[in-house]
Amino acid sequence: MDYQYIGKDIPVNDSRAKACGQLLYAADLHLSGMLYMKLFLSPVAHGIVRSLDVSKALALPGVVTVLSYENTPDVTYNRGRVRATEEAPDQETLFSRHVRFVGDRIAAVVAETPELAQKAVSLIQADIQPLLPLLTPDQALAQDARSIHEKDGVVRLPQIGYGDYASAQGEEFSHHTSSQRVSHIAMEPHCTVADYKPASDRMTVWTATQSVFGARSAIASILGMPMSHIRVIKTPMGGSFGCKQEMVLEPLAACAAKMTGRPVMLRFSRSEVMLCTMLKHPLDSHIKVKFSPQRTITGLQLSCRLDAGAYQTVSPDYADAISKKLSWVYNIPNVEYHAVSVCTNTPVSGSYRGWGGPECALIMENMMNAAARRFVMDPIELRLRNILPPYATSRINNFSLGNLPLEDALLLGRDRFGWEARKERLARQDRSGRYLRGIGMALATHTSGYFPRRGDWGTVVVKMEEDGSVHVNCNVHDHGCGEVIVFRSIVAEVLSISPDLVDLPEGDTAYNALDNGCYTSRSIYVLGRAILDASNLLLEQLKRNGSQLLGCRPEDLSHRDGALFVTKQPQRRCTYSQIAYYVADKGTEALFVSHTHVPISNPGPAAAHFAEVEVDTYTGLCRLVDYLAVHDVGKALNPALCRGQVGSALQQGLGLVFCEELKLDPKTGRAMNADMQHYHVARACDFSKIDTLFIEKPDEEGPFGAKSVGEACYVPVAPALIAAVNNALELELSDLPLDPPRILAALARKEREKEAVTP
Amino acid sequence: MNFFQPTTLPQLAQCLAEQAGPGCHLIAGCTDFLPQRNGTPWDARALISLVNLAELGQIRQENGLVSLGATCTHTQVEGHPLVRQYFPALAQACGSVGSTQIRNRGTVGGNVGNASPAGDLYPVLLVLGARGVVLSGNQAVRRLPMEQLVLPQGALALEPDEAIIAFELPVPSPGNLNAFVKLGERTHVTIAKISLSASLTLHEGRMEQVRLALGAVARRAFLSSSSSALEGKSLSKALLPELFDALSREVAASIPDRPSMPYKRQAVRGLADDLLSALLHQARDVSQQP
Repeated sequence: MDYQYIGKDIPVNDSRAKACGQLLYAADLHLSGMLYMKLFLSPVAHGIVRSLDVSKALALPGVVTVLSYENTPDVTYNRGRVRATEEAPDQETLFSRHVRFVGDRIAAVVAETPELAQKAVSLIQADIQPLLPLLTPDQALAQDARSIHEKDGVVRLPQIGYGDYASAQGEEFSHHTSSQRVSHIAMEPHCTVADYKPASDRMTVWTATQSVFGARSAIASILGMPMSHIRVIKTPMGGSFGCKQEMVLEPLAACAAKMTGRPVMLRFSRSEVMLCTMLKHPLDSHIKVKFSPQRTITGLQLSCRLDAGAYQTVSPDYADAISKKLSWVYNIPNVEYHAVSVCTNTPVSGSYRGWGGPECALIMENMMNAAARRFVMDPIELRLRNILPPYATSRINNFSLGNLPLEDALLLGRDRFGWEARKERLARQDRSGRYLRGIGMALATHTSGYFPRRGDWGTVVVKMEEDGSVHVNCNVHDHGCGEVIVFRSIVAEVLSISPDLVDLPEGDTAYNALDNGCYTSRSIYVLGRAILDASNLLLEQLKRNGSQLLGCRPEDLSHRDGALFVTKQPQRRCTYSQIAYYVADKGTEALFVSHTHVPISNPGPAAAHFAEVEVDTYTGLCRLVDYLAVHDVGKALNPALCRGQVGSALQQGLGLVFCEELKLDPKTGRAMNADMQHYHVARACDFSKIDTLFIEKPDEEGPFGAKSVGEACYVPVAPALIAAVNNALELELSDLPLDPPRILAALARKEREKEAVTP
Repeated sequence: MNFFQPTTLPQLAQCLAEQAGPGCHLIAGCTDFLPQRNGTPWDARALISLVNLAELGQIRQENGLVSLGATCTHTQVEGHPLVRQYFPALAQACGSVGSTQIRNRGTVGGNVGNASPAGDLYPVLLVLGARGVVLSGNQAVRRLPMEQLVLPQGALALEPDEAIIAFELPVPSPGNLNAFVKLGERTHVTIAKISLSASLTLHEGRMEQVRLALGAVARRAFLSSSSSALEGKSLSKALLPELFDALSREVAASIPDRPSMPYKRQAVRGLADDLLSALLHQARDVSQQP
């Protein structure tokens, strides 16, 4: 199929503005009379504030007010809740007398300048009665985390699964995987501006959120305002990866604006982002899998423990999400899943790119790679014996996974990566030298939306202006990855106009119909389809009116480059603009379409990743040599942007596996490296060449056949890298991160074991 | 706050005489100065910028010395023909500081003057026998060996009204090899976990006058006694076990209580290996010269 705009590498819509410094992020907003808010955070991991002295802060000229648990609503809420009806533990308040981690909010200063606010914060004195901090899940579980929360300090999920693991036949194989606390490191630190007009009781909030309606709902319930009095506008976003999907800053800034009757900006420093928003969950998992003599899986039993941090927020849901992914890749007749989410006196864990998918893949793929080594089998071969066929049904939640080409991903990747040739080359490498190389791979899939969970839909208004240009209204939340240009390309493709003529502003509760926001990689699959359908409806309307104008039947008409023409007599034509004026003069209808799309499927995009890694056995440093990501995207609507997603996924995966970890002092619970000097991320120079291969077998429902890619591409990265390291070192490492000290320690351990065996 | 931009040394001396004291800072590239103040209330009373002093940005050779102006950027030093000819260690160290942007702005004077234990240039200047040239508010100039310029506890040994204006390095004798390596060099933008600098003379195939310096394992980089593992020996990779063993013991003794000690003690093996490779590489180049 020949497309004008779909499948083309069209640059991100706002790249020019970004390059020129003209894109206005929330932190660039300067409203008249705006105040600045700065938080006063708990210096201890656990305690009760006996008394709070804010007099010196208030006495500082330029300080307008101090907010604390003493003068703000004590409504308990869950920052992860998007809809007021969602069931989730309510444990958090705007400010707290009972502080539960180093970084918990006790108070906040609102002042005329950020510097004054900061200075006033340093003048606040809190007398805190320390309580015993529970810094690890083990410590917390010993007393059910009751000293942290009276209720739901520990949430044990009911057993999830199907079949009966105990009765499954086969050889049992056990494996253990753990991972650490990491920060998302989106380039843009969080910022929210709230403006409250007391006379009209109207609140406007500008924020880089993944859900304007979620933010509105949180503000409405905490401040007790009608939703119609609150308008939340999504600002340009410098990355989220989940760190901007929970309602952290919005209720605080809104509360301060309401108390002062003036606009208030709350802007986090990098350290505050790392401490006071949320982090990826520390995970501990034990998996048992039974294999038949043919090495097919007969049963799986998995038990996961998530460290939720000081508040449960989304963690129980997250633990549940891990289970959903267990029946999406391999054919497993019996599944038994147990999970517990434990509060500790540590920074809050929460949403992170992939929502359980990467955790599930980390556990499953580490296990599969370890099992392949145990069985002396090629890891691709082991997977080929166990993968689900296309159009398989997920045994959990009972829905079709779509054309899911797992086998294609494995075989195409094996060829493209030169897997067999690399294996042979590495088998011959000199193992006595300083550098050792290894290869590894992992397989995964992900969601393209919420289905079959209810509450997934997309509502779109498309209207044509008199000159033939188009406005689209849809609750879009672009994270900076470019979905806006993809949506504009979809409209442009349907109507055959330049994407430049399509305006598509992002989420705004004043103009958009209710919509959850950007979660679960749903944007392209759900909203993209809604926009496609609405554009087609507008085209129908254009043809109906064009046929009146040209004196023919609508079905006689074709369209190209902003005009309609009679297919068999192309000289009989009219432009969209002429139709727009015709419709306006007619006065009986308007050129716009309102459409709601409700998805009826949720295909899994198959992904197979392959890595070659070189380990420096003297220093423990690892270097990525080569990387291949094979992605079933249904249709790459904008291949350059899809490749961009893969690159960012690799960047985060390299960090997770090799260097990132927010370290807490084991005695005090204080973060030891909450800044970019001491928290190490993977950088551009750590990358190898990244090869990306797209499988484009169209999905039936996605726009032009497209499925999701944004989270899917992160899911298999870590286990592929880990497998390559283990292959290089002939080790079984599965506790992250594989940082240099851990690698050297493992090599030393191996050396000692070898010496013990050969006296 | 007052901002001064002297263009001559007498003007600089006058600024120092009149402004020096608490709240007065000398600035050049600001690659450390600004990040250190990020998110804190502005504390400066006076800033004296060195960047308009043309002679502080020069590299020249005279009287058997190479003089590096204090505001030469890392990029400038790394690429300078005199540096590349005589001091590959300095070129390597300057080329591995921070990122490209940092190297384009940051200066050698700032790198030493900031006196960070992980500063890359101090140990190199130390093994190369450099001296710091210091101007004082009364226009007097004094020259300090590197050990005296930075105190053992990692602070600059200067009076408030003094400024580093240059470094003077003796032109090395024929047969000199010098090199700088640091851990994690392949992953750029690292602040050195450990660095190792060396300068020695190759005489009839044997290494003499070996000076090694270890960086980032004490408050200040120091001349390493592990040089004895090389002194008088012929340069070859066969020295690795001995050099590693010596360095490892030295690192362990230097930071016995630091949690990173067990790792650094092991990983210094990679540094030793890299250093021998760099020296061997240079020795080959030297022997191939006509």
